[in-house]
Amino acid sequence: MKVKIKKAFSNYNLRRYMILTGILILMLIGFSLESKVYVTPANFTNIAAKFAEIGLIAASMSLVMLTGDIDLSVGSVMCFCAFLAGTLMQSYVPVPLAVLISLAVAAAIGFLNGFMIAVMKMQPVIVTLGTMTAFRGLCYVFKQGGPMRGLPDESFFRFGNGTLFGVIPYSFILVIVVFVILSAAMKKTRFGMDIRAIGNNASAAAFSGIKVRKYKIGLFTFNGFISGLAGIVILSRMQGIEAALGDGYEFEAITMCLLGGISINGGKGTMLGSFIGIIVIGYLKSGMNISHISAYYQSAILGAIILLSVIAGNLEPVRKKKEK
Amino acid sequence: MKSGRRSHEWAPLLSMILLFLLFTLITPRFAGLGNIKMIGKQVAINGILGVSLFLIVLTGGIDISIGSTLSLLCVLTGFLESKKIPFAIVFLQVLICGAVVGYLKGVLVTKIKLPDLIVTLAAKNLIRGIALMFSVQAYIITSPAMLSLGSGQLAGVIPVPFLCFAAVAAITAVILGKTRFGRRIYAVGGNSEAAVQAGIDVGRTKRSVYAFSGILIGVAAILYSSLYQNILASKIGSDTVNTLLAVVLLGGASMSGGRGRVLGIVFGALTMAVLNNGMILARSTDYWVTALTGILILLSMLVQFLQSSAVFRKKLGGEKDR
Repeated sequence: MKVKIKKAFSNYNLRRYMILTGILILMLIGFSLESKVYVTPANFTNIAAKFAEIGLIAASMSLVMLTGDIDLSVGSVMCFCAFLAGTLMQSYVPVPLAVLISLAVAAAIGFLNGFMIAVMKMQPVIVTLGTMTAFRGLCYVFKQGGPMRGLPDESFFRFGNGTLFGVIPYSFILVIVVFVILSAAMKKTRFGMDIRAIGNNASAAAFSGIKVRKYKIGLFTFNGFISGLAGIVILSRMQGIEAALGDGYEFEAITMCLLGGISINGGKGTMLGSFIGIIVIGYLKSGMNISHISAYYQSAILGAIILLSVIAGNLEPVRKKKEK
Repeated sequence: MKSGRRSHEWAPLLSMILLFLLFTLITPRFAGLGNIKMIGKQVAINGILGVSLFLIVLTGGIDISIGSTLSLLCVLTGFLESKKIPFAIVFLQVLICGAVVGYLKGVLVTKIKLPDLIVTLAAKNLIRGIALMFSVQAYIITSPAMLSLGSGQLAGVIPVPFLCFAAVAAITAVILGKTRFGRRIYAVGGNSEAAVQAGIDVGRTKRSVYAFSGILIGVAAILYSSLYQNILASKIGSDTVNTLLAVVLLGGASMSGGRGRVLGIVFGALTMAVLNNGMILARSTDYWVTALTGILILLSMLVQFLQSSAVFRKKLGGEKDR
């Protein structure tokens, strides 16, 4: 038994899962001393609904990060697409058509990112900072910086605010579905192996016949599409949208992925890890809100978590060498 | 080597002049002496911060935590000022603190070998958190030395902040062009493996650059405090990174490092200041400024791509001729 645990602990991913689960349990105990509502199903519903959008983004961000890239434009694209869909609905475009149009636009923005990064060989950070700024700016143009409130078709709001069995929000089911599909794709298909290969060594992957450019463009397009989907979800949940919304979402999504064990250099990490990352960050933020920790400390704590999880990831290879 | 260092200062200069003419046509008030002085004041902070980001970009790195660092150092200035400490000591302390913060970022990047994006992404949040903790209420700057720094004018025409910017740019240009440290920075950014081969301590150079860039952020913080007087950490530098990136890219610096000159950055900063000021005068709104900044970033990257591929093709062609 002891040997088994030790063996499991020597596996990078399993060790991450165990440590994160331990942290989660400690948090559940610690914060429930602070407030009795913390571990109730109602609070779970609350957290799951609140973090569904970032969770969606974290799912596709994991893939982008597995290939060693990064996308900072997700928050802006999300907000932009929510505005676009809202504007279309307000001018009486049928809801499905409005959703389709804004998802297509989101995918097109992602394609633009991917094209500049994969074909024109520009750095992901700079390109996506550029698109992030451009589309955040365009969000301000829609309503002269003001919020958008009230859509003609009220039934659209049901998706973002409904729950299954009164516990699991529909939007969170969407997150789970996306994670299950991506996780299966990563484990069982060629696609997953190719992505890991690109993340481990892009030029070696290219030499062995993997179409690196196509994969990168595809992943950024998918990331844009998912950001747009998150925009639809948030529009439906909040029954409107504000121009500053989604600012910092890229930061939180990246934190979740890094915490879940996705390596910043690509190649290492699993979808399940990212999913646990979402849960841990969601419960952490909820706990901090419950115990009235101010937003200032919260952002500082998240910053520290990023540093710690990357340092922990960086220490891994050193430890392995020592074991040998 | 020399051709590698060449950059295109004419592009930001030209775009600045064109923008200037355009805004003069739209609003005649724009070209008045008062407004030009105003632009001179407005360019100072983003200009100095632009130079500080440019130094890091030269080594092939990036720092997206400059806005947060600015807010932390402004809060420090306000705190020290409220304790009635003499200006010279405040000035020194802020610069030292800036250098320390910069050096720490450098240590995380070079010693622990974390990617600079992640270090500065985390630093951005950590530093802003710390700044916000220390500025529960706004600090108001009242000391005469600070006020005269912000509103003073040389010969009744040139605003002092602009002079500070010019001095910072000139000193940095001399350091980059004339000293061994400057040559090392270009070498590290241009080809870091070759730099190692040539016996340059890449890590130490990078740490020094981060510290130097931190000192420049300190200068900007002093200027910010003296210009705006009312210091509230949540208001300072929240979208600085976009503007600075536009400044650096417009200034002709290559984001992969090793290329660009301070003069280009000066013109880049002036272009952004003219754009910002002109948009607000002409439309009395700034909704479009953010979007335009992003579009400018992407456009200047496109221009750089076209230039580099043209250079590349020329080289290939030249080899064929032989």
